[in-house]
Amino acid sequence: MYPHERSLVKRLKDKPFALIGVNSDEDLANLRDKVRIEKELTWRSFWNGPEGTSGPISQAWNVFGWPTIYIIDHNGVIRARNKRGEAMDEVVDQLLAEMERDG
Amino acid sequence: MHRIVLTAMLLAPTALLPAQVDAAGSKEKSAKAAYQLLTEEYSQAQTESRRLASIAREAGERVQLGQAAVAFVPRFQQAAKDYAGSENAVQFLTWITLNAGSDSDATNAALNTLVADHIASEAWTALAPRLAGLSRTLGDERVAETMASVLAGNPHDAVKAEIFWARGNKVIRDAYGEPAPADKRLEAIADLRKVRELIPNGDRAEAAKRGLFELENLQNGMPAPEIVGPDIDGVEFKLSDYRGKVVVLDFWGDW
Repeated sequence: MYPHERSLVKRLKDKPFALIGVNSDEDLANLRDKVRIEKELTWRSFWNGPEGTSGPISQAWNVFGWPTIYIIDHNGVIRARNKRGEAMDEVVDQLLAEMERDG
Repeated sequence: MHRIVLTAMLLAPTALLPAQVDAAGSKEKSAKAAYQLLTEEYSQAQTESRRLASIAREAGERVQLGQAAVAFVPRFQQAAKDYAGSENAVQFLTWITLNAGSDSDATNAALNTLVADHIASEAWTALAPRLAGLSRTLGDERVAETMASVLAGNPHDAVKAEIFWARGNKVIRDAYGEPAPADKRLEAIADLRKVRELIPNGDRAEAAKRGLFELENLQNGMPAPEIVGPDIDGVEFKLSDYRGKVVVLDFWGDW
């Protein structure tokens, strides 16, 4: 997961794109002080709270499997779900192209 | 005199005589005892099989799991036959349905008997949540048929609620990469609403509510709901802060 996410963020750093995480690790200190460095997190994440996978954000979005992905266009509209790797790149690039066309 | 008495006895009402109540009660006890013995033996066989599997794995050998059930299926089938026609058979038939694994003949046969002879049993409450999982061995159509039969033939609200939940939730689970087609989505919405009608409170109701939210708000083409919360440094921010950008929203964890 991490290498692909990192490379996507890097590739699109000058584009109107954001990778936003919702993290469900229970131990915030460990996440903030260790995981962030070890796994080189280069994107911002909401913290789902101390209840981990039962936390409020994942509950609200009915998330029952990790990872779960939603791809949202520049108008805030959901356009795809659970695309990984190359499939994710394709959708993101398509939506960026759409945005450029719409001007 | 004797003849009249005999006739009177033959015409006696069908209420159970004390001896018959005892017989039914003791049959139930013996069925429960037999079920307990079999399931305990099975549990021990599973433990042994896992022990052997981990030894094999350490020796670098390939391991095939799920074999412990194979030897037990015929014994549960025999027990189901012994108690055929009575509620006592249901526990054995349920075990076969849930544990016969890739033996689809045994699974099908047990499920057929449950539908044919025990459609009104309350025991479907326990079986219903596991029906969607049987799609792999029995196929989607068979599972859908079974759910419809139970809804039509079972009088218990708790059973119906579990079937509506299983059916609606299956649509959500199946919609991993591609959202559910419109007709399935509408059926699932109707099913999950039924769950909430039948069980207004508790875990199942909450799960149905979440499922409904997904079906009604998280499909392609719908505006993403707002998220407000702290990042891992405790700084509060919003999903809508990123309007104007393409966003990948990634629910993740480091485990």
